[in-house]
Amino acid sequence: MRVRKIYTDNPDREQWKMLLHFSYPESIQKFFDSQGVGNKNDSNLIENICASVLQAKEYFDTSKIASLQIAPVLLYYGVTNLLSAFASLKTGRELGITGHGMKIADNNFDLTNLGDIKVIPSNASAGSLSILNRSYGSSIDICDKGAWRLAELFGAIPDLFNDFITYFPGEEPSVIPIEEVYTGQFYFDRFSTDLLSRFNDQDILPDRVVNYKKAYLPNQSQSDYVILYRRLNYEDISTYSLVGEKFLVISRNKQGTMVYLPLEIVILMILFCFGFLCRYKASLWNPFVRSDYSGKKLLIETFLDYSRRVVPNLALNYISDKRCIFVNQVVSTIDSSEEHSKREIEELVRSEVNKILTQKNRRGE
Amino acid sequence: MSIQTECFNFCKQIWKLSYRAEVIALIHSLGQRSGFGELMQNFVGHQFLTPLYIHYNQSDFIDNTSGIRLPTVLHQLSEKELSFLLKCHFLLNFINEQCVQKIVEKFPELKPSLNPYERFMSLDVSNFSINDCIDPRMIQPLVESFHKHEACQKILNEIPEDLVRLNANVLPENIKILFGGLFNSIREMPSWVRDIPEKNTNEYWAYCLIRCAVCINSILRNINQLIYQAFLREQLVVFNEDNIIYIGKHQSNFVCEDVELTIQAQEETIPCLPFDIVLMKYTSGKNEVKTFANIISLRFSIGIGNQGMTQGFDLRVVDESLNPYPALVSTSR
Repeated sequence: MRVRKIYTDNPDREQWKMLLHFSYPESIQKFFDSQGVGNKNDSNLIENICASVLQAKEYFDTSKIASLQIAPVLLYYGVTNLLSAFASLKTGRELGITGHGMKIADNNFDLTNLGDIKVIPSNASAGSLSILNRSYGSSIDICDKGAWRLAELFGAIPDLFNDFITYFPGEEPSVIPIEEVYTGQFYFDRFSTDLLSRFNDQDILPDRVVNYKKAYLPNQSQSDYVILYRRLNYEDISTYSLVGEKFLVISRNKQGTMVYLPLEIVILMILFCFGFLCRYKASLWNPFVRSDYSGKKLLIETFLDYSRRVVPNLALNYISDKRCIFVNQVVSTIDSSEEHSKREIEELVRSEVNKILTQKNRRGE
Repeated sequence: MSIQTECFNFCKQIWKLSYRAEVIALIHSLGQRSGFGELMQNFVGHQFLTPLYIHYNQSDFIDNTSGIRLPTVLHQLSEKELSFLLKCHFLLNFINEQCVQKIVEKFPELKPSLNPYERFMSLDVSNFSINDCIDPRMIQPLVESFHKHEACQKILNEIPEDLVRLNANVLPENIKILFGGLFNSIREMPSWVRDIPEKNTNEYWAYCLIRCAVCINSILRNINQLIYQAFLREQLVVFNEDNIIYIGKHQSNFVCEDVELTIQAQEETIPCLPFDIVLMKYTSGKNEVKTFANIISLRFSIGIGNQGMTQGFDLRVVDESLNPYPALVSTSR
């Protein structure tokens, strides 16, 4: 996915300004025209998209000032509105959603053991979760793959990787951070061998890394790092944190199939879970919010803040087919005239020395 | 059919030879032997002549300052081993001589410049017969395709026989230059490559002759090398999208086309040495590349600084006649 840099001193305000562009019918009509989708005279569809974007904005804003008592519910509705609005916009049709398309496994909830709470996808044909899962690029039928534990879902969020390690020790992550290295000639990627100890079966390469073979040659293991040399026709298979950290996506075995979920869907499922807990399990949620000892409350607050920032960004990426990066820096001219690598300088010097030697040889010196 | 195709066809005949397995075992065992293994790395590109050269020139490997033999123990070849190596060398040299026979008849002075083995070392192999090595009919298609090559045709049919007699030293020296460092720009090339004399003068025909001789020498060297590789292996080393990490310089100059590439080092080191012929087959952007090349040099990078292990290669592309310098003939028109 190509990168689009957006210069701003306030990413949240800027991204919502870009999203709210699609709360105006004319903008949607123009988008339909440019993409060759939808019917620009379908006022019902267009008004639905406008309303969903506007409602999403209201839910997001309200969730910022609400306490943890209701913030997850508000943000869940905000996210589901935003994702469905942009899925409709991109496809140019109504999605036909009739419900959440997921439920929480009926068990004895223990909020100090947050990772074990399970979200069960349901209603493959008309559930919001299934439809959005397909719309946001997944080819799996999520209802076929059983329940997802919250720990599994948290392990798939790049920006919360360190929180995941802290709060869910012993759990397998679904993303691992990698470093990009430039040798002066070519780029390669690597990750710390320590990360492999997070996996029960450390043999995650290549099969568990999503689309590994589109990007890399067979890995090499050094003492400290696993080296990933890029294929000649490298495709970037990574997912990125908001600040541009690079992560590999690791698939999980669900009902015998190796699967992964789009980040939008992971966030939606976690929000649904927290929304359900505060709405329908208030007798557990309230004491947890009031007097959590475990620190999980901090994790939930971090997650909500992160979701408020990242979901609108993901919606923009989705609609523009670009990875939108909001940068807070002064726009400057790119000066390529003096950019020479060490290798290029060596080549220049070598060429000049050869020229001098050749001339001397010809003169018989 | 092209020289390349005929050469590959001939290589298939090599695979069927009854004595091939013994040759493979012998060459591999030489690599393991004290002395031979190291020295053979230093005299690459001469096929079966390399171990023979080491055997017959052991005095060359004495360090004059210390008088110590380098390496300290050089295993002698047995009579049977010598016989195998001589037989195989005879086969390759026979092909070379068949290929250049008509040209040598016309220009005897060219002989040391055409056959790559002549400049390195001449051996008396008169007690061998081609029938001991292979059915001679198998060689004919390759030799015939060689005779049809533009460089041969030019020498045989265009360059006047009464061309001023050449200084026998000139051609080998020029060929040495071409195989030596080679040039990164036209300015660095010697005048006999760069400057085309006025047409149909003696200088012009001498210029054509030198260029064609260089091509013939190079083609024969590659034919020899391919056949040698066929003795040892049934597959060429392939650089493709499953091992290439990076393609650096891909540049053509007045005479040749060079490619620099880096591959991921394999668990088993890719068995190649300078002068080996390899296949490059990959898609880069919209360009599909499928071409053969000589290894000019190779580098091995171990994983210092957690950078992984790579092998770097400088390659020279050869055309379908196995000629690394096709422009030398095409610009002699």
